[in-house]
Amino acid sequence: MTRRMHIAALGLVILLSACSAVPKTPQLTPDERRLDIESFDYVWSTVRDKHFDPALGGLDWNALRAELRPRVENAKTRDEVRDLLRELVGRFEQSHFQILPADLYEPAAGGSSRPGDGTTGIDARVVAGQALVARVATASPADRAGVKPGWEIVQVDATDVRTRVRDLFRKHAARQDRDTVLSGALRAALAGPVGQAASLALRDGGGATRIVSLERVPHEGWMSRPVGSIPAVPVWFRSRRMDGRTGYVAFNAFIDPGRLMPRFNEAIASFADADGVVIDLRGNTGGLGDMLAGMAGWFVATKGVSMGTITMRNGSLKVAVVPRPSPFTGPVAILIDELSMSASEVLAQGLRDAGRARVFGRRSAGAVLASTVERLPNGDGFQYPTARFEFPSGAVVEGVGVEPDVERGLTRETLLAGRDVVLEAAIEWIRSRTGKGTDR
Amino acid sequence: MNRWKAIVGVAGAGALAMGTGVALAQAPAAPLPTGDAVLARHVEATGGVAAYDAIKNRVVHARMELMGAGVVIALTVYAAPPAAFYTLAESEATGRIESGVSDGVVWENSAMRGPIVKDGAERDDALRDAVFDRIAHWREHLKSAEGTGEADVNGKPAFRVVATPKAGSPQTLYFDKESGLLVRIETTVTTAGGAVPVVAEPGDYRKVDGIMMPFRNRMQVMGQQRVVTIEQVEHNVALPADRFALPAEIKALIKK
Repeated sequence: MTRRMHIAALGLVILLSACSAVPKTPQLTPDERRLDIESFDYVWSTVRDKHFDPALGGLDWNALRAELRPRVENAKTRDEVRDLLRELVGRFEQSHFQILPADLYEPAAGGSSRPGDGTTGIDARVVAGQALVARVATASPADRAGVKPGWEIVQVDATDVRTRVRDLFRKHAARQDRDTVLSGALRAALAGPVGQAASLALRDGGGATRIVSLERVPHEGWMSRPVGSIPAVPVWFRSRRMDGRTGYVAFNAFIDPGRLMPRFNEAIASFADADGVVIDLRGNTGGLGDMLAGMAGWFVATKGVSMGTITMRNGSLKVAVVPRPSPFTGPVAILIDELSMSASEVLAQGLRDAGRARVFGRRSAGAVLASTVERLPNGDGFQYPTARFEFPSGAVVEGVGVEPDVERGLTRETLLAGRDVVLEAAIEWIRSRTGKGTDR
Repeated sequence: MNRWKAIVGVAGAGALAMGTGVALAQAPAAPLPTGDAVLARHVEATGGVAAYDAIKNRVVHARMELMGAGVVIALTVYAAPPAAFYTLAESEATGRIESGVSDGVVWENSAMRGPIVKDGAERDDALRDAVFDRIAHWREHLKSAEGTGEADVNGKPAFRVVATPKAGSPQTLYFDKESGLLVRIETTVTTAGGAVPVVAEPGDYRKVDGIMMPFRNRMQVMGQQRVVTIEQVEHNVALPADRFALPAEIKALIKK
């Protein structure tokens, strides 16, 4: 698989953390098989008619149908059908193609919970071939069990994470998206239904092995409600002042504007007298692009600024920034990493193109297309790109990622020392801009 | 009305003649009605001037569905002559968005984008669309209404009229030849991101307080289909005095 095909399997699914925990589907009934064939036809014709590129990237779309439809007709399980649909759209080698299993749409009932609803409180990344705890949420099961950032995740339940990560890390050394794929898979492996325990083997700072059983709990924040064909997802938002001087906001997705935007607006408005603002988009997998212009409006004082242009088959539109009545005019630092996707990448690159932000961290995922999600006849969701995105600077981000201005990555040593070197670099830059020095 | 029936009759005869292969096509065609005549007939067909004049305001409850994506936006629209407008749109995808037109000020306010006062072409198009029952009162706000021929709209013949407003972009309107009802609008809506071509097809006309109103409006917006379905229409409602007043955030923005 190419890098973009892997990215296509991320996006919302990573946000939902569901893939690895979904059990294999049973044999198809005749009715299910009929719906699956209809779903294949739906996907095939939708892409033919609505993909932003009428030439379909030069693919022989009819030949692909002839190749793959018979295999769908003979598929034994729904998972097999999903894999074939992914193979079909994967030929584009573009982001924002996804097949979302139908059970992601099912509301929790009878105390049950979807595979992505629960968390141990650990946010993890693959760093230099090691699966590391990057952050532990306060008062989470992991926090109560004493898990610390920097610890290596050796095993999750029956999965030998250390060996698998190490092997894949070496095997895909030449791939630019390697860390995105591995970190995404790690995040998914840690997720599970609320109430289901995860048994973890961890290597602590001293090299000792710790075995913990962590019962998964609901994510911090709240569950969004479904937005059309986009399933409900956990959403969180954090804001604070660091040292009383620098504003800091972080959120995991551009979802649920009715609840997220007021929090964002209130936070940024409260930072009016701050030295600078840090927008932490590490791990933010994107969401509704409509929120971008409104967020950017807090940092752009002049009219006429555009974050970029989305181009569909039927025309193009600028993402025009509408300045807020009292925008923040001080320095803005945006933090990204390999799991920053889509709207996160647009906000980072767009504000940088507008001369309003400096970007810190690691290269982002490179998944920048506009898309929509529709339901298939078999109940699955289908996300597909409807527009390409072009930045004012001409920067190419789809398939490439946003290159940070200041490259900083996590290391086991700095994590164990309780440091966040990306955030530190951002604060240092803000201090340098305001001439007030650093006291961190 | 009789004149229109005659025109329809001629067209029907022409269609039959084509089927026979007889050269009746050389018969003189009926002259096209003027744009003004088409609009006047529409007003008549939908209730007449007196019925429109009796309406002092309107409250509409509707839902707009973004087809395919499954997103549904709840709409509540208040409108009054000559061009007062207030809309509340709410959905999980957008949050709560208020917008309005009052005393020539075109505004929007939402958590998503904040308070905005629109200007330029965006303002002009919004002013055009805010005119209360604008086709019924076309003489007051159109620079011209030019009949430009006939067209087929979903298999039925229609008169085409290019309506050029005093403010905003021109619109091409299609009126069913038989019923006189408006059946298609080709228009441009200017947004902050650029000009958006919109094709709307009003349908499911029902009589409310003496006038025929389209309870369904199918729209094509840059390749996306949207359907607005009216759930309730009320006329001559006792509205609060400040219904169309500018919100405080908008007033503050204007003062700056």
